[in-house]
Amino acid sequence: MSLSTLLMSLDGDSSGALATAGGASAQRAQRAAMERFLAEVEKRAYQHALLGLRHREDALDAVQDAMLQLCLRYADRPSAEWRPLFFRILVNKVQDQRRRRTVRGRWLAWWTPGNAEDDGAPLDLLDTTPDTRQEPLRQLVGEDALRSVAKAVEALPPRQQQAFLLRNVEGLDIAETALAMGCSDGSVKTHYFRALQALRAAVGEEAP
Amino acid sequence: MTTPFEKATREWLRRDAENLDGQTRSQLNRARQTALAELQPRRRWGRTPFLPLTAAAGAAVLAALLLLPSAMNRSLSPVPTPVVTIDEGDLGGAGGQGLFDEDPTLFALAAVGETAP
Repeated sequence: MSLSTLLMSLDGDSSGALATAGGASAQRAQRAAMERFLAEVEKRAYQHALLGLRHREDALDAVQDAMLQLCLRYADRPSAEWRPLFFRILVNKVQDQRRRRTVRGRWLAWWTPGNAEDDGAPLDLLDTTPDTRQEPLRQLVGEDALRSVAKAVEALPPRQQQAFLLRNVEGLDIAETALAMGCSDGSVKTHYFRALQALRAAVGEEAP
Repeated sequence: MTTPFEKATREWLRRDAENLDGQTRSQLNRARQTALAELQPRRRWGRTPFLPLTAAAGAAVLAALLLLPSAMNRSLSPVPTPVVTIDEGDLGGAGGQGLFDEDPTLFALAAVGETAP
């Protein structure tokens, strides 16, 4: 076989001349599986990021970055590991964004003349929203119920919010939640328990 | 164990997540396609036979470039002629006759031994 014939046989999509057909089909199957996974998880991931960041564009950026990193770094992992890995990346993105905001908030507070008389406490944008836990709703019906729960979740401290969303909404078990949050199983249980308590208080439900 | 409260909040929040506006859905779809597109080049590189072929050819060329000048230098430089010294004993050793030529005393002793009864 001449060199030109060999090169032609290796060119373009016919690179499968040496690659096995089974490998190509497995790759297509993996891509399809990844697409199904991302399509299934993206809306809740966006909700998670939006509740954590309270900013639409930042939430979209965080979700897109998490998707990219999952595809670039962890696509070869078994698909059963994708969910905790994806949320681990997303949780980190949300935390990074929060930290950047906090730092930016400190600089803004320092530079803004009106804040010169403040008590010197660092500006935490997460504390600027009203705490819905002080307004328990006794009767939850329809959209009102949904709004009150969403607001109550939004008002949770970050770690409790993450534990609640990952455990309850996303359905991860304790070990997967611990992996996603980068903490121990015990911490997950504690955060989740406290989140439930806070939410019950917020929506006015008595603990069973 | 899941309490009714946990179940209710899960349903509410999942329903909330499904009720996204069209623009956000579109942006999420685009983000997903962008991420999936990143799978392609990496896979192609891992699968293509050009990578090992190119690497092997490159290594061969590099080795040739490194080794060729030293080989040429070696062939052009004058080779020193080794000085070989030959011991006379080695030359006369064939047949064992040379030993007696060297040592007269031994030769005399051998002569006495032959005449002795």
